[in-house]
Amino acid sequence: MAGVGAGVSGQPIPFRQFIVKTHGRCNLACTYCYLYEGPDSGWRDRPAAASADVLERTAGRIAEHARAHALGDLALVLHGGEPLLAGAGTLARFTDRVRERAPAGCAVHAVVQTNGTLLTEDRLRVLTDAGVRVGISLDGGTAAHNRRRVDHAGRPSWPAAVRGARLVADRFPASYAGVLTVVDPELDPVETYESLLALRPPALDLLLPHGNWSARPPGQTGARYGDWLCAVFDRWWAAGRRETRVRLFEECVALLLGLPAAGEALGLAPFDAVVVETDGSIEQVDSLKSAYPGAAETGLDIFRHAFDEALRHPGVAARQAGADALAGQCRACPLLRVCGGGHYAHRYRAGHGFRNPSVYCADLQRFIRHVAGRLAGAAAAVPAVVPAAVSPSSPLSSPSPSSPLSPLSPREGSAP
Amino acid sequence: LLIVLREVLRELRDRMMWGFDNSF
Repeated sequence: MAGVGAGVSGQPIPFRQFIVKTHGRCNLACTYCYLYEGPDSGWRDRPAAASADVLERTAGRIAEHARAHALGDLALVLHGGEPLLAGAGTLARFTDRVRERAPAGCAVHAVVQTNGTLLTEDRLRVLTDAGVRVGISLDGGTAAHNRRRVDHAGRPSWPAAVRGARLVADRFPASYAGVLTVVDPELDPVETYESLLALRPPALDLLLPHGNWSARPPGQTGARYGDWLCAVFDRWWAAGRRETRVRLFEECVALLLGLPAAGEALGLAPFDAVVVETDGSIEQVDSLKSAYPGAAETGLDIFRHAFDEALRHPGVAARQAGADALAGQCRACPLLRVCGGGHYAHRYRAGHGFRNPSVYCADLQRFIRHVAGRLAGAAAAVPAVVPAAVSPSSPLSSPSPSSPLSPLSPREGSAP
Repeated sequence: LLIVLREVLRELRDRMMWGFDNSF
């Protein structure tokens, strides 16, 4: 699934992840939000909530796509804005309709991604009964960490958010999907991680804030973000047990070992997610909106078009083209198979499109090499496991190494 | 290479595969 060139055969990979904007507004006004504070203000022109008609037609289009491609499973992501503004009952009924209309044998994995402030016991029961898992977005596990997550009056969201997170952990642990955290390099990495552990998430993901060559990430100097991730990785790696799953770390380990992985942050797996906006527009994922206005648009909608038509959109095709869609520096880089050029949105440069290395190139190198070093160290501790040192004839010892487990190449690290 | 690791490997053997990074 993560091989170089997967999806390059000319045959598009069907969508398996359907992100449905059940509500297009948010009860918070986080100061760094790429959607509401970023360059694309298209949300202002769309209905606040998806209508019953949009949701019903979306369920039909998802079922049509699942049937056409004989999907054995798919992910239904209830998103926003703040999706719970649509009401837990609406989310549950919509999920039920997608499951009812999906072909027999197609499992629908449903999750809602929320800021946590609207979670109550009643709402969680409705979601749990409908088989909808709950992911929460937080910047850390303390009020100070979440200082940028405020409501429209500037009041902190933390008291309500932590109440919601604790409610899920205490009363509905089987429905708890995890916590998403945007990295803030101003915060202490280990303290941030340990504070998140206190919320008992079954999984975490650490997201680099959206930025690109024309709108640099906040506070980016050297490999500051990479160093931050390395510090958390070491705390996670040395814990003596796996305290929680950390998606970024585990995908990196998988890729370094040549195993399948899927994710936007790393690797070359063809991307298989599509978005339905509140007005029924079919779009690419929101992160592209951090690049320029209209970057996610396809010109398609669920009233007139099947999802198959979106598979033919050039932007979708580029994200399924593996290494072929990358800059020359990336294709020549020994970390290519693991890094994969980083997150697509982070490659953008005004006037040059997305065929550039990631604006986080130095950070990704620092992080990937750090993880590889820890893996190599663990293997070295068990002599029976360590294969013979690389022989002179091995491709790993050639002057132009192609494996991420090869010595540093002077070609890597170049950036436009 | 192409022995926390033990638990991660167990899951990789069984195999989180959803790629959209703004959810789980």
